[in-house]
Amino acid sequence: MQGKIRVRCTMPPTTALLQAIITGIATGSMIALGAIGLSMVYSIAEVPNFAHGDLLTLGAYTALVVNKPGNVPFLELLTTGTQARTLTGTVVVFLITAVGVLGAVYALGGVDALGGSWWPTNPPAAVGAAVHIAAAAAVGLVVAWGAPSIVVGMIFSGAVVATLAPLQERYVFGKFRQKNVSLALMLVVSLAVAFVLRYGIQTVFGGTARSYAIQPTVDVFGASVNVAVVKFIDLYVMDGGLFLNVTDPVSDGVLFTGSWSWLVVVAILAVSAVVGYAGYRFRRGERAILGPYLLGTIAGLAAFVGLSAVLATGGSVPESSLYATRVRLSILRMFIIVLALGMMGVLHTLLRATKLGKAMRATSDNRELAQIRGIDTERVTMSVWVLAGLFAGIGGVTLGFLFGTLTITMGFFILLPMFAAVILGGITIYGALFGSYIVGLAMEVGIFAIPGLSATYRVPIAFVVLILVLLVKPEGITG
Amino acid sequence: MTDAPLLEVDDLRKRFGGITAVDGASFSLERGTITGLIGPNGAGKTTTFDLISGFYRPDGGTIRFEGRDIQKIMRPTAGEKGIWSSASASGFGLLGASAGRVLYGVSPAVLGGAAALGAGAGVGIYFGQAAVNNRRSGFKHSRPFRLARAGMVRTFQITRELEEMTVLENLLLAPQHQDGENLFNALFRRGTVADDEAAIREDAAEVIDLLDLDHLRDERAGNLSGGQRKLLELGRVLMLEPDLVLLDEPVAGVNPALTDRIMDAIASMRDEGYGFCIVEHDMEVIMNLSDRIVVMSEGKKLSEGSPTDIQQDEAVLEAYLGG
Amino acid sequence: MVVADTVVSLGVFASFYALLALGMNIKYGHTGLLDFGHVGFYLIGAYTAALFVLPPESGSPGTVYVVGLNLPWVVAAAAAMLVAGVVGALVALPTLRLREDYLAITVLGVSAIFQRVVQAESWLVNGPDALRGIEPPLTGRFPVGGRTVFGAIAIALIGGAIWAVATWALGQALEMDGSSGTGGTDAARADGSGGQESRATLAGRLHAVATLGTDRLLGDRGGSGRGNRALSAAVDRGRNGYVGSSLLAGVVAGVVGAIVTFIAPVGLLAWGTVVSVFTWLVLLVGLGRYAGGFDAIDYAVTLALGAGYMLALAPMFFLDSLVLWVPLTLLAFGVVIGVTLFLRANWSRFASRPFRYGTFVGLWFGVIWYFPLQVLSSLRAGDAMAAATTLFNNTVWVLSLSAPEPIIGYSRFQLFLFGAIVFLSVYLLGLVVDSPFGRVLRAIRNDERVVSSLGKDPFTYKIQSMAIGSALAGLAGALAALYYQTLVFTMFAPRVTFIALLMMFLGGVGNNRAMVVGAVLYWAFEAATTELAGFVPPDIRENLQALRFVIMGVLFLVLLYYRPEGLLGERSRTGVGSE
Repeated sequence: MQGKIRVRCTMPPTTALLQAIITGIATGSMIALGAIGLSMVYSIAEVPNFAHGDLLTLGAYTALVVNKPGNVPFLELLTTGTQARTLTGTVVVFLITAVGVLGAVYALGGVDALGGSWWPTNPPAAVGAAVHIAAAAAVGLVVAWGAPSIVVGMIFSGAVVATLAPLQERYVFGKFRQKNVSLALMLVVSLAVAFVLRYGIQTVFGGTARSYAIQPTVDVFGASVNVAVVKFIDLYVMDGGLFLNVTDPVSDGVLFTGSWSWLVVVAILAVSAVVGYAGYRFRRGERAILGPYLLGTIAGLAAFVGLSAVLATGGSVPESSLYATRVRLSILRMFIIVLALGMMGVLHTLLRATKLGKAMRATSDNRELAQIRGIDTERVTMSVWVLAGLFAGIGGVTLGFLFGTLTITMGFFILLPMFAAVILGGITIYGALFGSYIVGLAMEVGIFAIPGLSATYRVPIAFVVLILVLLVKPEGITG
Repeated sequence: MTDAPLLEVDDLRKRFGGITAVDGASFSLERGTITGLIGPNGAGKTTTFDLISGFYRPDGGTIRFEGRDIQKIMRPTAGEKGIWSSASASGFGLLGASAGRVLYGVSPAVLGGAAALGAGAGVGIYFGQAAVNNRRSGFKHSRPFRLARAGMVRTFQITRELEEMTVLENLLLAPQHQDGENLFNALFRRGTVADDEAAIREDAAEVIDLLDLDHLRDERAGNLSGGQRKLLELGRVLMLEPDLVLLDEPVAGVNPALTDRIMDAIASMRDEGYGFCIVEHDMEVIMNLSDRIVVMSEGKKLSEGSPTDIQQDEAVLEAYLGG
Repeated sequence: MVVADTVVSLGVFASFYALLALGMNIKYGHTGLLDFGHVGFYLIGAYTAALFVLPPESGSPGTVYVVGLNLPWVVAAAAAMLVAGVVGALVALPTLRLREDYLAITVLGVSAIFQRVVQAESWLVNGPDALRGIEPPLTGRFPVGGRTVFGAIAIALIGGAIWAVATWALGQALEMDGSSGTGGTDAARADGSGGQESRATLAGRLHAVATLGTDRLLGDRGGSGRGNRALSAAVDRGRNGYVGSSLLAGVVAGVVGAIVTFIAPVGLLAWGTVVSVFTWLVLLVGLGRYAGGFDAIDYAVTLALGAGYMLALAPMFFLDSLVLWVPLTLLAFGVVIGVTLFLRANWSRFASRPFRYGTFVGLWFGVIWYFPLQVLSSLRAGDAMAAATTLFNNTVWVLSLSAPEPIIGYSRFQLFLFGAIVFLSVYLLGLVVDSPFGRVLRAIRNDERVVSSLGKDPFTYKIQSMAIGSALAGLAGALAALYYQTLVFTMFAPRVTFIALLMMFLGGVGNNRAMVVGAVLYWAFEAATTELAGFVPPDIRENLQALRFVIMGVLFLVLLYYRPEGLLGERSRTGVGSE
């Protein structure tokens, strides 16, 4: 690999700080995948759920059913090889998915919910039931049809874990809540649930590590791109402008090349700033889903990326440059960043735009008061668990993909930074997002900034940051 | 002892968000008297209590107990600051030394330097944190328990018992400076502790006798009725032998027979020289019991005087009717 | 292998885990501080002790550590306690101000930091590799037989200590009978006369014999001495009533034992037999007291149920085919559990004393395993002699009889050593908890603000509680280091904290003696399931071991829901004040 690069004459050095920041953002996104669900459950259902990490593990292992059924005990009988399955196997996967979707709906309020009672409008039960069944069948078909693909695995895991997570609430946490136990005892309870989940998974799958069967390459506009291996993103600052070169070190293929003269750079920045500000002005003073800051940021970024892509001119790697830097990032990590952003978008819309979201926020603020004001806190709690399960299922598969191997402790491994993030954010959903990126950045930048510190210290750094913050603000940042 | 009033409240102010709870109240009270604090709902009585007992920090004004500012009483002593900052210093010094060990090896100069840096940072963090907390609320670094040690004790509107402990244990807990509260004594000077404990048990027996709680002595406090809890709280205060007792609604929700008993107990304690400040809604009780009455309305002192004066004060009547 | 050895090693595990649970109990049970990072102090204790015991680094490849002090284990254990206690206090400084859930998670993070430091810093304690070569105390001197000076001293100590503890326990059992009237039948007995009256019973006579007359010697003096401080005596009597005479009896018994074993060739065997039989008798008396109003029907039913559970395992023993025994065993278990639940629901005798019944079912199960089951194969082979030998071996548990000569092996010495430490810790903690200091701790658990309003600084008490609890965890770590002789960072996973919590909730939150019970129950379950795992094919053994954790977790949840105060419950203090 080294040899191939040297051919290129000017290999830009990796700028460690920039690299650490980018990696930190990716790590923060990784933490956010789980922290979103954890913080929802923590703030709304009032369960500091130690089992959340193991829900992620559960999600990761569940995807094996779709992705590598030959590796799942009992399912081996329905397969013909590691990935191919018999017709019965396909039907089983279809049924599990459909039941998963319906089960998640059922968790929202029993049989009534299946009839559509949780919708904003009050549909006739038959209509609601028909729509739910159709939706379940549609998701089931998508999963059954798209089978070994890992993306389908995410949908599958999401559906299954979204059904299983509310069961924890119904049969364990809900029972204890009725007894009015202290938060400390709830922690102990969740620890026991974590134990049951983790070793339950091990009981089924045994101790050997598993992995997904994934095609590491994906076709992107005709070029096949390896998603798991890092890409080199080289940026050169020259007399005449900027040059950006994205290469795949394995195939030595160039994925993107672009150069911009200084004039164009200035123009792009100016236009983006104007667009961003326009977006901000457009919504100023309003409390919409897309608030002024959010819209401004999105508009500005969109303008920046769009203009950059359009105005890029080709060119070759310059022989000399004033400054050159290289950042390594895999497509997979980029995907995680995008996925986390997507989840946040969904969540943000839900919280701001729907009745359920309002109820969730009210319950999070004060459970008793919300109850008095006529909010069905029971249903809110259940929907929170469904959402947390959905996100845990999807997040777990992504983590399994990223780590390469599935182990039963993978969820616990990520749980500690997740908790650090959630507490840092003061146990609010938005605070947890913020906390996730703080923790992620602290972990990566910390490892970079302190020479001689081995990567083993990532989690300790997260906690040192947490303790330092709590020293000054004992309720967390937004608490 | 100074001849300053037992408690002196001067121009007390407290705001919560946009709401002014206490807005410049001033009054004082003397040893061996019972002062009633009354006023319509939301007049700021309980907030005043919380301020006097140190659970909130006032935004303005002073509270003097036996002539000393209570903020000064509650402030950490120099010794405590020393202990805390040196604990912080040694912790961070250790952190610094190990960081130095990791980064630059074991040379003594490096270790010493890193440890010194860490220790400095530790002291800085301690005082910085103290400063931040003092500015924000003042509560985190102050020591409300020190007011109790100085001789001012409060009870709570909603009684707070140690529910899992018995009535007797609740009382035994109260006295200050028990020999056996020191771990070393508890293990190695058990004779002294036993003597001390015997004396305290005798006191507790007297208090139980006084309050007629004999039949409930070994009952868990959690099983008591509301009135019995009020009695128990009073008993705990008695065990402390304070100079000033702040009672927040001592007879609310208590049946008449118990009310009489509580009032008798308070009156006889007053005669022994205790000072009382009582917030109470039951006008009959407060008028019978109090030597002086302070009337609050909308966070301000409206009027002050003997019960008969107050009963004839038209402004007071107006405040109650208008409120 | 003789099952007595299994039980001895179970006891060793249980003893240092009991210390761990005791530490947790001080923090959570008495003060209300939920420390999810308890394992961190266990780690610190273990590695501190290791570094104190290890010889200076010899430069051998593969083992690097910062310093080896080559000091005796007593110093090492003390240092482990001290360091863990100080670190516990330091960790508490920034975290104690936080909410309970923040506290729990933050200290969990701190324990993760400790673990990572051990893992990453290879200069410190050999990094990710195991730290080996921790020499347990006096290994070279064991096993000991009779007729040597060292043997005589060891036997004097061990036998004397066992005798003293057993005598004391016997006294306690008598006391329980006299004062609390557990069965309901003796409730009418007057408080003071109970002790006198029980003298007349069989157990009382046993106690009279066991004390070797020393109680008479102490009786008068002790009585008048205590009379001056009637109140403290009332507090003390329940716990210390028989301490003096028991200790003295232990000393006498130890000396006699040493002399006998030193002089006579069969002295050790005889002495071991006497001590063992005495402990069995004490156990019987204790159980008899615990059983209270049990009659023949109760004993028979519990025996039948215990035997039923054992029988339910039979398919596992006798059938080779997995496909055959798994469903059969499950079915059998289902039936027995069903019968148990049915009785519990429909039979007033069972329903009124479910825990006593449960305990006895478990006991019978254990007894069946310990005695008849061990001789089953010998009897089937018609070898009555072998069967008798096994029975004798299991009865005389103090000695190991597998060697040609009866000896006291190292594991038994270790059990004695660790047991003595646990006993001492429980005793001292009892003093702490029953003192005014302990009262403040419990008050803090109830409502910190009250404590503050009474002029006591809750913070200083919480710090002390964290320090004591952490020091106990450190002591547990030191004993663990001496036991395992090898330390790896993976031994200090958060799972250990979970196990300590489990033991605490199993025994009884806030009850120190219950920690020992919790630890023993946990390890009994562990040992039993390990034994059972031997019957399944190796390829699914791992799954089965995971399954037992699942069962453990589910049982824990059930326990938390239905009996959060634990099996023994918090020791009632209402009686303490009565004169």
